Amino acid sequence: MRYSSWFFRKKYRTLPQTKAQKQAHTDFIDASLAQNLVVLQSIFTHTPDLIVREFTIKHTGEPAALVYLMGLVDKSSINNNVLKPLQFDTDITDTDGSFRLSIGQILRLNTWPLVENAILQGRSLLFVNGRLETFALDTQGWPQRAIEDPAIEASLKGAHQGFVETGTQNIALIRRYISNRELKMKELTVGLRANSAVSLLYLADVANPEVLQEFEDRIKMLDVDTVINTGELAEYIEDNPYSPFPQFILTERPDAAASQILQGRIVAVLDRSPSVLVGPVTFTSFFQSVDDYSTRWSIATFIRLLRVFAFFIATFLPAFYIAVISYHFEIIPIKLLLTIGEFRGRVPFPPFVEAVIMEITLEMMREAGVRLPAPVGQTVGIVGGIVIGQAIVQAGLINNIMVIVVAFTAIASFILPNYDMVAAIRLIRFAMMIAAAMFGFVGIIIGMMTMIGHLISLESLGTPYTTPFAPMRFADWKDTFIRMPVWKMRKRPLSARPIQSTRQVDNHPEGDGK
Amino acid sequence: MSKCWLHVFIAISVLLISGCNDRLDLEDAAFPLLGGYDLDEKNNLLTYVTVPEFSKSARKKTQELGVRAKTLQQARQQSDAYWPAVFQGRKMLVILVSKRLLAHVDWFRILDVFSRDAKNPLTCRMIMYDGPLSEVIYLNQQDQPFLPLLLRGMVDTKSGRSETVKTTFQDMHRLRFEKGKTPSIAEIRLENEIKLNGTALLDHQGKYADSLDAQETILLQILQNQAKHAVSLTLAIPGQAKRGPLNTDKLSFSTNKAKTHIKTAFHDGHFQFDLAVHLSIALTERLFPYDMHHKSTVLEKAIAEQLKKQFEGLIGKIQSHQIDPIGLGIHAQAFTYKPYKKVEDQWGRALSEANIHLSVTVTIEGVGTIK
Repeated sequence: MRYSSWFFRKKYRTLPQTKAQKQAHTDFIDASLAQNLVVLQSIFTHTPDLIVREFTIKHTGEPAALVYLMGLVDKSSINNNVLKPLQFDTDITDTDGSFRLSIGQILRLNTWPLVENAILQGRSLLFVNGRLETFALDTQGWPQRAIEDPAIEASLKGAHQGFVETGTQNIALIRRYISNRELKMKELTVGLRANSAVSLLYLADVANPEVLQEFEDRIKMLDVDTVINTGELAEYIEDNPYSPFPQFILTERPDAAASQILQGRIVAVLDRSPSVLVGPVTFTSFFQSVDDYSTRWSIATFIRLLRVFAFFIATFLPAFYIAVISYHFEIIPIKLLLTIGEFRGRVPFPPFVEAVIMEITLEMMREAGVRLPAPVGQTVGIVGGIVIGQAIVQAGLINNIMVIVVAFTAIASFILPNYDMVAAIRLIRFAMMIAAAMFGFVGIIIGMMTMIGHLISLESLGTPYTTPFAPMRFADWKDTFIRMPVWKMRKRPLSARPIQSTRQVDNHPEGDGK
Repeated sequence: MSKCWLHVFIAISVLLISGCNDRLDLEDAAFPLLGGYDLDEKNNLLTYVTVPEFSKSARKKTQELGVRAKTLQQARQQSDAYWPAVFQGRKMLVILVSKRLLAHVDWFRILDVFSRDAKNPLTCRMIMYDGPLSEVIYLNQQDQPFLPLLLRGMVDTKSGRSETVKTTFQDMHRLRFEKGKTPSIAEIRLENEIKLNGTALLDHQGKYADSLDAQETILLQILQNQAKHAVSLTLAIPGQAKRGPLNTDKLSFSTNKAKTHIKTAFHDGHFQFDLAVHLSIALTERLFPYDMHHKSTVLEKAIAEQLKKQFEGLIGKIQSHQIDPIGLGIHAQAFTYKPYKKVEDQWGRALSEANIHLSVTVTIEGVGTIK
């Protein structure tokens, strides 16, 4: 009998409902406090953190109950601003029947689904006997982290505030940068089981309504249990889910998000997630960092070009090494050739195996370093340094040049400011290595062309991914792999498809020369 | 979904069918850095190669091998038999030929494989050795870089100072079909140590004609307008007092600018070339006392006269061998096409009958930091 349960497992995503719950979900709340509490208990069974505090309102003498989930509320607010006046003050009823409580927002709810939702969101519900509505008090207060420096996207000159896990706070952080009434928001909810709020932030007179509509539609179409993190949300709404390249920027920096909004892009803030989603983005946005705009433009341009160079090194260098050693050693200068030949003569593996061993060692070390707590992480670094730097060469498993190649590749991949793009490059590197091991330079060229072909076919929210290069938009080149002076960028980038393009007049500094 | 799997299947089968077949790892290849070509007493072709040795147990850094074969491809097969590696001519740096081989017309044809197989390099330096090649190949000097690097370094640095010519395989190949110029290649000799001797001049068929020493090579390149960098010359100025063996009448200078204007004409059945050489020089060495302040123009004239004598000696040498390493034939073709076209197949002889006028002017631009 028991095996049958394997075959007759529930396939549908439904919440278990008792009879009382069925009734509760359809019915309005009752006038009787006792009846309401019974329904409430039937909805929240096995919920010991549900607090039901019954008391009498001193002013009117009505029996009342305050219901909330322990831990999701601000206790001092409940004690001082709700329970204390209700129980001890004598003049707190308003003419419209509500109470004068020093609480920011008081909603009046009259159906059970709304009540259930409000409790789960951390509001406290005031049931009063004899009334057909309850008061949902804005007493939310859950465990929170202080605002800290962004961990992944560290910056030298940018702000030191990163997003936290509370959506409203994140929105406030963005609003601090854009105190403008045109900064509008669209509130959406995602997830059936634990719905989370997604807010789309945009400048109403700048952002393209079509793009906004597309963004909104994709989020609205989602029918999932829950979305825990922004990365998940991005994966659900991407244009090309099979691509290794990220099609949204996930940022934990409010200043970066604000600057994207000001360019006409749209930012999605997912409650409970410490990073926000920016779209539509282009390939070049992954090479830009906040610091670029606060350093002098010539230096920023140099750093940008350095990143592009690093991108190619990180993608192609091990493949280039394999191709050269296995197929085209005549292009190596003779003195280097003799050195490499001497090293290679000791190594038992073909170059491809050698490269894969080293690259995988590096990846494992990196992953281990990320997962481990900082003190242990250092140990990994030291052990890895010894293994890669010396022992593996002395043991004759890997040659010195390969070690240099791997180290150089690793450094190059850490230069890029965006973690998701680095991860994509890392994966592509292995594909390139296979192509190089198969066909030499021809393979690398095939791989490169495939990659470029794929890149130019990508879209982000319906916007071409590789613009301003394909399709060509010369006006946008000012802020791509080079950065022109900020006073030159009079228009917003076309890649964001803004409906209002000018963002400044001619601000060319004149200095003392005039 | 099935379409996706189909794509994966096609991709894998394409990779497996065509991949990897010409892979040859660096350490599995024996790539000679030097190829030497010589004839033995019975005029059999002797082929030598110098191959770097990567094995840790090998005592020497290079291995040398000589085989007798009719063709170079045959030689390659025979050499292959001696190595635990595949023989590849892809990184050849130096082609060494013996004077004995150069005594034969059209010897260059045996190197056919270098231009026919696209994987072979075209930039290997051509060098002639005066003697049997086995002397140099098996020399194995301990205190020198190994032979191919030594020879290539010699040719590259000395040709930068115009003391020899850097003629690559490709240059040789081109000059085979150029009627208005004859090839010249670097020449080495063995005097206990390997020594760069200057330049070997070849005739139209590639046969050895004569040799030039370093100073003559410089003069040749000045006439060719190819002495681009500063070149250094030493002359004896007659009429200066000699006191003992040390204080002689020598002076040296380096050129700041060397320019040769060539005027070409055809008169009375003879070609006529007017070579006007102008040198701007800076004295680098003067072993006799001289009043530079007042009499520098006199010295300029004396230098010009001495140089003219040396240039004339060089031209006499060229005309007597009926060769044209300067490339005057190219000028003749450009400026006097019709008469040149009639004699282009015997251009060497036509040049030997040509009137060559030479004028040398010298300007001293610097005398150094002392009087």
